[in-house]
Amino acid sequence: MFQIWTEKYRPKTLSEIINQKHVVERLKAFVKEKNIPHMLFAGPAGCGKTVSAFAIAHELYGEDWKQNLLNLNASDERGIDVIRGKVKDFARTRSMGNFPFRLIFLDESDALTPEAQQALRRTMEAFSNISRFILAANYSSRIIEPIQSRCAVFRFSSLKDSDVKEYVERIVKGEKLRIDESAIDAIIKLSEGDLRRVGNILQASAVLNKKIDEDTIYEVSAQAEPKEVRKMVEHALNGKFLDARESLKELLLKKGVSGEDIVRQISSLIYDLNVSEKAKAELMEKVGEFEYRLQTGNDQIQLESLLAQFALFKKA
Amino acid sequence: MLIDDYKPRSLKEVISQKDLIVKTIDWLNKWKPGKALIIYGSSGTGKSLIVNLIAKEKEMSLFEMNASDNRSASSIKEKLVPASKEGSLFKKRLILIDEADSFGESDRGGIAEIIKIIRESANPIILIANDAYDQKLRSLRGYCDLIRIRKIPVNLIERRLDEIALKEKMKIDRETIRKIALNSEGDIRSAINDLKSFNETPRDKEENIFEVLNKIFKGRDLRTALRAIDSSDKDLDEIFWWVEQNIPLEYSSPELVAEAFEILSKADNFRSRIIRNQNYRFIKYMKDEIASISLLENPDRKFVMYRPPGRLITLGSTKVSRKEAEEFYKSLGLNCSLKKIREQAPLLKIILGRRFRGY
Repeated sequence: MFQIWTEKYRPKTLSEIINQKHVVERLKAFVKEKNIPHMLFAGPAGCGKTVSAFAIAHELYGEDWKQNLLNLNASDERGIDVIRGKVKDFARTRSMGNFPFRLIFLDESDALTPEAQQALRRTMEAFSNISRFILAANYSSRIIEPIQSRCAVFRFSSLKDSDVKEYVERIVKGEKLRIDESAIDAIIKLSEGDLRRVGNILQASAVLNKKIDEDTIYEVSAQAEPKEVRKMVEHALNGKFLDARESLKELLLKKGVSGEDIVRQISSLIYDLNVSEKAKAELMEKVGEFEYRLQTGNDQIQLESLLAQFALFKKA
Repeated sequence: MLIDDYKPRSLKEVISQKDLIVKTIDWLNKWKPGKALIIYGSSGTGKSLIVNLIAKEKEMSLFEMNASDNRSASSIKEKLVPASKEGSLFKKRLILIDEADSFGESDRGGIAEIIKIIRESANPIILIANDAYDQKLRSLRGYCDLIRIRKIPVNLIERRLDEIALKEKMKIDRETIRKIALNSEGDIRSAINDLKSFNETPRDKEENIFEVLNKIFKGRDLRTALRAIDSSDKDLDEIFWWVEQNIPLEYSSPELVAEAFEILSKADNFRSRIIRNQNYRFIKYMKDEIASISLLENPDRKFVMYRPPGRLITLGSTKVSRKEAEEFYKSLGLNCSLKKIREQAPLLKIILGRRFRGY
């Protein structure tokens, strides 16, 4: 049966999790005692936060894990209504089966609005006799202080090269892949420790070539680059404002990328742009200003205005 | 209404579109049960009109269903099944399903029912749509021949508008007629409607959007621009988007484009206070901002063919809508957010090949 490898090779138990030994050991102890505190998992993408939460649910509840775990992704459902509705309703209902508590997992919880986080605070406290929360976030600093203080904070470290290699080899063995050593090195370099990316790069490469070599990896990875934002900025710098605007509309309206994400991507590529150092500094300031205006404005108008600023630095 | 007064009464009077007429009649002559026809293309180009006229001239009785009818599976069955049965001996029947790409939420199962009827109908069925490649029509396309209708050339629209203006003794200059024709983008229906609205008597005249834009972009003082905004037939939000669309067309220097957008960006922040907090007091400031664009000094004043906002996007046919893509992403059962899936979409596209239904 066809399966996406990131799912197929997703660790099901705590022992299968790659590295994160210091975290995993403590989690195992909690599971053994069948008592866990509220927890906050912080760390970079694809290093095992979500996997750990699911593994805990599996090990605590066995067959019944689905009824006893509420899995919400705050990036998809980030509003206060979800916290007041779904989350609260689940938290105040007793567990199915003979378990002391139910588990609520809020993935990407740094995407929760501050209001939603405030609303969460009371729920965490009020039903702590029958419910436990696990929050995952890239940065713990985006979680408000009162919630952090109610949680045991676990820092997931970024994966080392040897960890990524271990995961690659797991898949290579499972799928009986033929792969060059140099290709494995390339994956390690390109994945930045994100195992989700590793799995996808590997599977895409395997689709393209029976024997995976270094070139295939680079080719696949180049296709995955978020090129559109760069292209849009380049258009503006080349004086093709209308093209830049089309790219922007495509991103916002067709692809559904949020204005906030676009402005962040713009800010991350400024230093690579082919303009003077002084221009970079000025542009950075503009990006900051328009990111601020975005909060109370229309994505398209504000980003378009920002692009008009970029067009002032038209390359000679 | 003007549009009804000048509607072609016979196929001979139809402007352009000879090709479509010939093909459609040919299709009808060769028609055998089991196959329907989709005529598709931009609005206002004559699709419904032509089918109606063909029915009239071939002396067929026309049974029509459009988006104003309830089109759920059961009501389609109820209405169309009888119509699809053998007609009277003397008059053949033609079934027309107009606006076939706008089956709504409440019309669930409607398309499937239509397919059933197509397979058994004793009478030919023609469907009309703007976009035959709309996702909703995917299952239907296998049972249909497709003919595309072309846009009407601008010069033919212009000539038609001229004729009408003359017959109606309108006080309207050639230049405006040309603008209307250009702006219609091949939609003759909208052009004739526009013609009507341009011909209001000067006293209670509403300023048309082109004049409003002229006063905002080419004016010299705030008050004239403000008055133009107030007397426009478009509301403030529409004007706002017209301005957005046309800033880069009006100004050729990047400095002026940036300045104008700087103003619009501020107007936008007032706009969201109005929208979010229903704080209508800010309408005044939003207006003032937009009007202040007239104070930008543009040395390079030229004639600009202003374009309506937002058209570019809706015309470029998105093969997969955002909602469908999200459904697809969710169906993959990956344990991460849509945002993360979107980031990985290029890789998933390679992995899934033809199964990929995202963007």
